[in-house]
Order: sequence, then structure tokens, then C-alpha cells
Amino acid sequence: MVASDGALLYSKEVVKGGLEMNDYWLVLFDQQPRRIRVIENLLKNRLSEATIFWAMVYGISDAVASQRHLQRRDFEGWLKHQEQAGLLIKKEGQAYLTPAGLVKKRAYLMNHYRPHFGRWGWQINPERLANRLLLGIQVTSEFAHHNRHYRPLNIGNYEMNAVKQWLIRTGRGVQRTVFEQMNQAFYTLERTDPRLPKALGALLIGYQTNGATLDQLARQLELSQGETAILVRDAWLGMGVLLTETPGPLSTLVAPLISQSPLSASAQQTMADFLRGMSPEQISNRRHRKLSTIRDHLLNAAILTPTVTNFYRLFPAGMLNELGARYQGPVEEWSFLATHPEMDLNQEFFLFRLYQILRCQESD
Amino acid sequence: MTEQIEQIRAVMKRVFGFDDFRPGQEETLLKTMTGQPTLAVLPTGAGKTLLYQLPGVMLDGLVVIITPLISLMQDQVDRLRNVGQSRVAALNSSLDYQEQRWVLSHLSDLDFLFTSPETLIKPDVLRALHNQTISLFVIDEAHCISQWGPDFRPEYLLLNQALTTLKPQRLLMLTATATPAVQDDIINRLGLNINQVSRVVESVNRPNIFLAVQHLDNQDAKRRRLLELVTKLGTSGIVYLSSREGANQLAAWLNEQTSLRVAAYHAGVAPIDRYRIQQQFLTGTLDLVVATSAFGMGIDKSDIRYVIHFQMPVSLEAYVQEIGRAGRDSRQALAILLYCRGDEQIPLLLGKIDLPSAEILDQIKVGKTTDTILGDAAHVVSFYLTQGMSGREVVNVFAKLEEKRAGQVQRMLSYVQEDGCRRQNLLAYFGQREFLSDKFTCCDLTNPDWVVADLDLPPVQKKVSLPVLDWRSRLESLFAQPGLG
Repeated sequence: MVASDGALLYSKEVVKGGLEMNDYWLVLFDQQPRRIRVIENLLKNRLSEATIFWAMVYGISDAVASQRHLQRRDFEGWLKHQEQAGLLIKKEGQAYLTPAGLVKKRAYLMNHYRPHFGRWGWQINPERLANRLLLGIQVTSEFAHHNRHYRPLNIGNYEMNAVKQWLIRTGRGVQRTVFEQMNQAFYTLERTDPRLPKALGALLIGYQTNGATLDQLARQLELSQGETAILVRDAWLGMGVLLTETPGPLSTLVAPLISQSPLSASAQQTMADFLRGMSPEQISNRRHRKLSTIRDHLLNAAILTPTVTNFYRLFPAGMLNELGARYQGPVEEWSFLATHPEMDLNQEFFLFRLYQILRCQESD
Repeated sequence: MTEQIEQIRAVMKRVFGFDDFRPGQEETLLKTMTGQPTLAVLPTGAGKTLLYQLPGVMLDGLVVIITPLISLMQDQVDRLRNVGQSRVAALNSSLDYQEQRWVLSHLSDLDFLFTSPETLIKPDVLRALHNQTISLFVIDEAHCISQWGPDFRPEYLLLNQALTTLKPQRLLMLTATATPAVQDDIINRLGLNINQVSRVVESVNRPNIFLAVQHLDNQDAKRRRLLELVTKLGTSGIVYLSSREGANQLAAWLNEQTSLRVAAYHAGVAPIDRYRIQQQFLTGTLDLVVATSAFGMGIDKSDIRYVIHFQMPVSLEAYVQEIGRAGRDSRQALAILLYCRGDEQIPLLLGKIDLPSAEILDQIKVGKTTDTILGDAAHVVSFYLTQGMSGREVVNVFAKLEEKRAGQVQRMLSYVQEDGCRRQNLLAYFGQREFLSDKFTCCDLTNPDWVVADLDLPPVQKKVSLPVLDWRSRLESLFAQPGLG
């Protein structure tokens, strides 16, 4: 195509008006101010207790780790661009949508792919899962065709060795069982969105096929590259979920990559002690960890695994009534007020935050 | 000697499937195997990788190969695995901690280790390698040792110390392009005695590649010419340019404008997509790659029929490397450079470093000022400062670099503006005065009426890709299974 000034125009996106990956970030903001760093850290998987708490309050926890390689300057540049476009206003470390921004957010939510499996981002790293599955499927496919001369997907010696050992252990008939498990998983994904198995199927590498690049897939799906990347990430997460739920060789292959809990390994240990009846102080002493770290673990557990225990037992007698009388209205508007001089300030804040979490979950 | 050659031939046939040596291979292998430090300057397509792959199979101990690019390293690892050599690993900064530990603790299980100079000189890596028998130490793309400019990798200067520490049994330096002066520089910088290094130098001339330059009035005309050319030339080509974003845009545009299957390739493309693009191109399901210089080193596709430079490369060395990817099957191929007046500004600007004053550099040296003000040049400048140079000395070094780089661009421009014979111009730079050529297939200056059709470029079979979105048929064909219904 030739513009009027004679210069050739390039189409930057595959689909005009399509969704760039970072456009999706607008969905994470709202008309109420939200903390910018919370959103940035959530995307990058830098998960402090405060990030996890505010992500819950904002209702955006499913976006966890969806942009692990995000650079600060790119995020800042994007914010500036949104401000200039009149979609977002920044104020004192927070940002909120303008009416135009809200219209755009609604349009994104209505017209573009919306992830179904985002919450599994707490337990699955889809990049690592995808690499291991792709190599596992490749070696199985070449094996099925009796082909020994091919370039295995280079995912690093450690991971390649894991796949090799898996193939040796799985042994004869692997092609049939992997085929059946893939079929079953793809049928299930198809019921969620027919594009999910189409996308994953297109990416597979094996005998006489190298799979499609993201750009090639985007053109086939008639989506922008950004929207395709969101869909592909969701599809791998969905695949991971299905493999945890069904037995089969691929489940064995990826089992070590899927965490049983959204909590970190250290927080899981804290919770195990807590469930045995130990107090935060006792856990701190036993594990040689700071008391503040143990408290953070408990708060994260209250947010991410609320049903495993009754967290109310952490409050001293009478304190719940007192907190209920003092703090009312939306939890995000509460300001901490120290009123117990006999209590360590950190402990008082811990109980305040725990109360916030529990009330937030009740209102949900 | 004859017996050794017979042994080498037997392994070459059995493991790699080759019957004969290409020019320079036999001489290099013999010298290397007998322990003479050897510098081999062999043109692209001469089969340099075999020169360490083969000793790696024949010798006891580890072959360590120093390679400048991670993508090249991965490619070499893949190629060895492709011929059934699984005792191979790459060690570089792209690996996570777990992967790096795994490689270092499995060195004795390996025949080949690919690494970068930056990784090699790390104390724990040197320590681990010191405990191994290194049968052969290879410096691939050895011209990097003598390279100047912002792409210069200062750690190459520390390779001589690494050699002293590791004491490998054999040493081989490989490059496709090195003028006699660059050859001397490589040897000196590695701390070797210039008289004790054997040199195997083959001509960089590739008589089967027709050389042409086309002058266009403006960028718009250049793009239109590119479109005409790729439409006419069809499958199995590479278009080079200097920026990642430019490669993305041009690839998207060519996908829209032609029926060719085109992909952009550069260091910003995700590693898995780089793998796919390389493999699709190798197997003929991708027609054209629009790439930065990141694409090509190690791409062993024999039937690439044309290379088009959409922008001027930084030097004749780079140009020869890049066009050398065409016609490795020795059949007719084509290299065209599209030039607009002022294009030489791009390589000049790309390599430009704005250094602060000598006084500020001295402050950085003693920690009074942060080196972040140096921007992209921080790594190179800091290296010189930590090696004991003063701010003034660093400024002088960079002034010389700038001069040298400008000279290289100027020399590239002289090729573009040549009016006699392009091949002669190019070979003279590499010290070769005489060569045989056919005026008809030499260049656009010896055959001014040339048209693409007259070159008789051998047709390349276009392969059909499997349907992308039909997941059922893809699964059936991947696993050789009938459908489940």
C-alpha cells in the first residue's frame, strides 16, 4: 500500500485495532485509584505480602506472573502513554481510569480474549511447562516415526535430561498413550474455547513439523500478536491444569513443575507448623526465621488458601469485636490505627491486616 | 601421516556421512591433530565446524569451543545432537543457575562444551575446566578478537590468560574473513608466537555468487525494488538489514504484498521462535527470512539462492560473511546490495559511542561517578578502566576505534561505488590480487546488462506446510496414529 506522500506504510499489527499485550494492562486499573507498583510487581511475579493483599482487594490476582520479563521503563512508558491518551491519571504512586479509560477497559473485556486459567499462574510457570511439553511431544513424535536424526528443541541440558529420563521410564507404547492424553486434553480445552487447542496444536513440534511462530499463529487466528500471546499463555496454563487432573505419561512429565499450592515452599512449611497448633512465635523460633516473615506467610496463606484453617484463632479474645466496631466500609479505605500500647506494633498491624483479609473475603 | 588421514576419513564417513574434504579441511585437520596451533581462514560454507567436530569424536578429553553468540552456540549444539552426538553442552548467561551447575558438574561426561569468553573467564568455570583434559581448544569466529567498536567484547582480550591457565593440548582458531593484518592481530592478542602458528588460508572468493549493487533514488524506490526482486526470486532467500523493528516491519509488509512465507529473525525474537524459523527455513516451509546480522552464523542451508542487503553492512568482512550464506551447494547464487545515497550514515551512527571527557572517566575509575552515564558503552569502557588505563588513554583508544570504524565503512562504500569489477574490489581487500572469473557470472559491472532470469538460478522446491489450525490432523500426523473419532 502506498500513502499519499509516496511513503510505503507498514502495518505494525497483524490485525488493525487488535490487542497489544500491554493494552491488556488497562484492564487491571479501575476508576478507584490503584497502587501502580502492586500491579507492576504482580505482573512480574514479585510477590510481597502487600502485593498479594492489594491484588486480592483489587480483584486482579489472576494476572499473577503474566509478564515475568516486564521492564520498569516499559511499564512507565506505557503509563505515560495512557496518560497522554487521556485514559489514565497518575497521582502519588497510584493511578485510576478516566471515563474514557473505563470505556476502553470495557471494550477490551467485551471484544478480546479473556483468560480462563489465570489463577493457575500462582502454581504453574507456563513457559517452563510449555518447553518441557514441547520437547516431550517432539521426542515422542520422532520416536513414533522411527526417526533418530532430528534437532531436539534446545531447552537446556537439565530440562533435556529430565525429558530423556521420562522417555526411558515411559518406554514402549508411549506414542499411543501420549496421543490419547493429548486428544483428551484438547477435547476438554475445546469446550472452554475452540481456539485453545487450535493454538497449542499449531505450536507443537515433531516429525516433519516445526510448529508455528507466534506471528504465524496470530495470522492464522486473525488476532494481533499480543492477544495471541495472552491466549497461548492461557492455553498452556489450561493444559497444565488438565494434566494435574488426569493420569498419563504427560502428567508424569510435568508433575515436578506444578506446585501443589499457590504458596511458596517456605510459606507451606510455616502453614504446616501452624496447622499442628504452633503459634507464630514458636514457628519463628523453630525455623530460625524472623517473626515478620512468619506473619507474612500466614497472611499470604489467609489470602491464597483461605479454607485450609480457621485464621480467627490468631486474634486475642475480644479483639474481633473491637476491630469490627472501629473499621467499617470498604476495606481498601481503612487506615490502621494503633490502639494497643501493650501490644507490639508489628503484631497489632498483622492482626489489623488479617482482619482486613477476612472481611474482604466475607464480603466476596 | 597417510594412516592418520585414512583414520580421519573413516570417521568422517561413518559419523558425518562425508566422502571428501573441502578445500582447507584436510590441511587444517592434520596440523591441528598433530598439536600445531593453527589459524584457519576458510570462507563461509567451507565446513569449519567439521574441523572441531571430527577431532572431538576421535580424541580423548573435552573439546572447548569459544563462540561469540548464544544463538550460534545453541545451533552448534543442535547440529551435533542431530548427528547423534549427545555428549555436548552449551554454557552461557542464558542458562539459569540450576542449568549452569548441571553443566559444570557433568563436564567429564561431555565431549564438546560451547561457551562464550565472558563465561569462560569466570573463576568457577576456569576452575572446573582446569580439572579436565582439554584435548582441543577452539576459538570460533576468531576475528572477534581483533574486532573494534561498540560490539567489541573485551573479554576476548582475556582469552590468552585462560589459555595459560587451561593448557589445552591443541589450539585451533577459526574465521571466515581475516585480512593478513587481522590474522597477525589475532595471534598477537592471544599471546602466541607469530612464527609458531600454522596458517591455512583459503580464498574468500565465492565464484558461484553473482555480485551486484543497485543504486536507488530514495527509500521508497528501494522498497519497491526489493518487492520486485523477492517476487521474482521466490523461495530460499535472506534480506539483511540493521534494526530489529525494521526487520519486523519489512517482514510483515512482504507477507502482505507477496505470496511468500516470510519471517523476521533477530536477537529480540523469542528463542523458541528462532528455532522454528531456522528449522522452517532449513526444511523449506519458510521462503524468506528478513534478518539482522543475528541470523546466519551457523545456518547450514546449502540451497540459499539469494542474499539481499536492504541496508549497507558495517564492513566488507561482515558483507562477505553474510553473502557467503548463499550458494553453499556451489550452484549459482546472487548477492545484491540496495543502496540509497547517505545509507552509509546508518552503520556510522549505529556504532557511535559518545564518551564523556577524560576527567569524568577518571572519576568513574575511582568510583566518584557512576558508570551508568556511559550507557551501552559502560561494559567496554569499564573493562579498559579496570585494566589500568587512565581516562585520557581510554579516550585515545576510542578515538582510534572511531577512526578505524569510519575507515571500514568507507571501504564498504568503495565497493558500492566501484566502477571496474566488484569481485576484484572485494578480494583486493582480503589481499588477493588474482582470481579466475567468468565476466558473465562475476558481477553487475562486468555484465552490466544482467537480469535475474539470465543467471539461471537453480529452482528450489517449495514445501507445503501442514495445516496449522486443524489440531486433530496435527496430532494424528505427529504420533502416526489413526484418529480417535
